[in-house]
Amino acid sequence: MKPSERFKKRYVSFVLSVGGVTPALSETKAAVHEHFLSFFGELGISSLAFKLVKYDSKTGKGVLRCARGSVDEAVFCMACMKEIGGKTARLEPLSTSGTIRRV
Amino acid sequence: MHDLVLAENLPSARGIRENVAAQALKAFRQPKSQEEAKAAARTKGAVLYSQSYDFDDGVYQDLAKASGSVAFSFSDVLGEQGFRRAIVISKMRLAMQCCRKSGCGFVFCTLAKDGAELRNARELEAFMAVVGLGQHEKEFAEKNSERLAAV
Repeated sequence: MKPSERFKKRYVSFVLSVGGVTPALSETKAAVHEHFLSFFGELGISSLAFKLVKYDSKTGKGVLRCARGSVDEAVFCMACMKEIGGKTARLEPLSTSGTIRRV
Repeated sequence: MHDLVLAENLPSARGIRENVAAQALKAFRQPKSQEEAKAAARTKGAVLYSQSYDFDDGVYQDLAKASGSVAFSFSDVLGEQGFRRAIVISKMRLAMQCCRKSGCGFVFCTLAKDGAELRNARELEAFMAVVGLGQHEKEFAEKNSERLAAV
């Protein structure tokens, strides 16, 4: 398949804090995946083309990928995160870009 | 963009020019019943907010005549989870359709009671998109919030 025939992507950078601290990569991956799955469902996730691309546990900053037509839904989903494991959590979207380099 | 909040002295989130306390607005009303809502909708420039988002059609028409607006709060979405959250978003979509049909105004805000409920401008924009606003309607909602903050 040619690159132009693949689905169009957007990369959204974010900063995550749980109870005022930045969680580890494994914890972040589990929490973000669980949150997106509960929000979109299995079918929704498949059309969202969601992927946690990278995450820095020192700064709490990371990048996730989604389909171009679903950026608003993905950002809204991020905004809806309230708590992880009983602790107050905030997944704040910072910027959106078409390439990882520019995000 | 301006944001309406329920607590005072909250810091502004990224992209939000100013947080305006909703109670400070003269025409901000939180009706508990349809009768109260009908009466409040006749106030000039009224901003009606109800957690249930189930005003009668007459309320929207009265609001349109009085140049009023309906407030949509992100805190209502944040306060619910799972199926209940889906119902709230669905009710907001229906309320938005009524606003469109009657021609009354609308404003999208967080109505945050504390710092954890504050959201940035990009998140509010996504909230508008999820409720079904197009680009022109988003611009209208932003201008409307600025107009309310200036009153």
